[in-house]
Amino acid sequence: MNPFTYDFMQRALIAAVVIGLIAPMIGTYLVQRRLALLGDGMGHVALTGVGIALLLQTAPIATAMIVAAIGAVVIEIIRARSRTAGDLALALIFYGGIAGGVFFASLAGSKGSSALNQYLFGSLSTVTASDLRGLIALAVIVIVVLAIFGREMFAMSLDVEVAQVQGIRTTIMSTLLTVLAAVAVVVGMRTVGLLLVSAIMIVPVAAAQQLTRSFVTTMALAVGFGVLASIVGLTSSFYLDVPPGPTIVFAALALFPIAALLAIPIRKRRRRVVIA
Amino acid sequence: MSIEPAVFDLRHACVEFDGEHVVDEVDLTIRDGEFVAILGENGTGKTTLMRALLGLVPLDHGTLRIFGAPQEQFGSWQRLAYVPQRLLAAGNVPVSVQEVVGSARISPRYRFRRDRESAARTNAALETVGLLDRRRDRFDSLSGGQQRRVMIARALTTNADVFVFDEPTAGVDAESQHLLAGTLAGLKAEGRTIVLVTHELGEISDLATRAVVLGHSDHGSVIYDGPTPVPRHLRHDIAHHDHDHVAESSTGLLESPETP
Repeated sequence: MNPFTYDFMQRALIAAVVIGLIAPMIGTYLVQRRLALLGDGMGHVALTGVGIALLLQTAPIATAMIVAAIGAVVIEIIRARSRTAGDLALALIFYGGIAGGVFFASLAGSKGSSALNQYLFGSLSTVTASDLRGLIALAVIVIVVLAIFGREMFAMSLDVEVAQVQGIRTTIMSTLLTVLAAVAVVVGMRTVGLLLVSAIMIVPVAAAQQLTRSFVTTMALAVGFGVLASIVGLTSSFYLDVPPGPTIVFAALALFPIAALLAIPIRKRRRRVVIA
Repeated sequence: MSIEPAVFDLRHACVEFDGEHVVDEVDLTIRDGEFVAILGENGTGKTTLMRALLGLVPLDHGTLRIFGAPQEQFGSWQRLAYVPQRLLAAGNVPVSVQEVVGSARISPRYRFRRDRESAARTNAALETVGLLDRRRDRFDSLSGGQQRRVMIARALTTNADVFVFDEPTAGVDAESQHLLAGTLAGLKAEGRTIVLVTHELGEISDLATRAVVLGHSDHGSVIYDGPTPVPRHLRHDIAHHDHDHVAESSTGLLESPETP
């Protein structure tokens, strides 16, 4: 039986493909900047937004987006102001995010706590039609912003100082990238869940970079891997009756050793070319 | 014809780190078309001075004008090309040689329109440094000297008026060093302004027409500012620490231990 005959599965599939598409795009910049765990942090911060939404009984996407965006800007300010304590300050914000999420959700009562679970690890059945419109709108914004500023973000990711001497506003680009990571987190929280959404940003990139030689091809292959992992993970989540977050992440992780195996003959061939 | 303002005009510049004057009372005016070598032993603040000229290090005292504009108002960044020793974040995601070179022309000017010259200029610059056939390879698969040549190609794509090089000879093999000397001579012949920081006297610093030697004195960081060659007694000062570096750099092991 085809699970995608159900409306809710169709919506979940679209939501999963959208996150599989945009998360690795942002992840490629984050990995290049050695900020692989930033998405994780944004997920923790967004959790407070979800908690507030459960308490106020409003749509979680909006509050999660606002709280995560504020968190993104605060993180960038801290990173710009204090070189040494930046790491520690980030940790404080991240823990605060989780604590806030659980705190506000618990104030909302037992229903709030169980709803929180759906946002932590994803859920097949909760993506409403209006959610879907919101997610797609956010994804379109991410793609448009990357189309305009992606090149400057690439130069900044290569070398902040060199980019600055080229006239690139590196502080603004860095903040914009962190805000995009926050947007991706919110887009992914329905399907992959806030605790695992960072994986879909980073793992496809880690798998792809074993096979590629340039930034652009790494991003393209990572997007392919991200979409593939989302579809495979979502389908198996339906049959196994588990939340889609873990299965999507497992599917992405499985790509890593497969890519490593594929990389062996490519590396050999390249070495031969260099010797010849 | 109006007189073009100085490229860099530094007045009474001081940069402090933890209360210590790394750059002390420096007056430095670099005019259009000059070829200036900033020399000094390690720890005399020459890299910090260069970074201050580029606006990467804030001045604790003094003023900087770039092409006549106060540094914080300066906006004609396409007139400057900075060649660092290495890229800060190279190697996390594969980046191809041509992407590194092409990144030099990325700027806010090309947000909404395509940079049509980018590909042709990238290829021409890679041809100049002899690495066109490696353009699709991973940047981090190249040797140290080749990576430095890519960095030079990167700057060459910009058509800048001013080129600033940080330690361009440190850890560079003879072939790359020779190529660098040729490139610098070419830029000089075209009338470009060149500023380079180095702790080695030799083929490269001899191309310069003006030397600024940094050291420690009661009158500030600059102990000599005048035509090349550097006076004999100062040469000894610079070259003194240099013998080990030259030996190391010929084996390609040297990472210049410059303090920030």
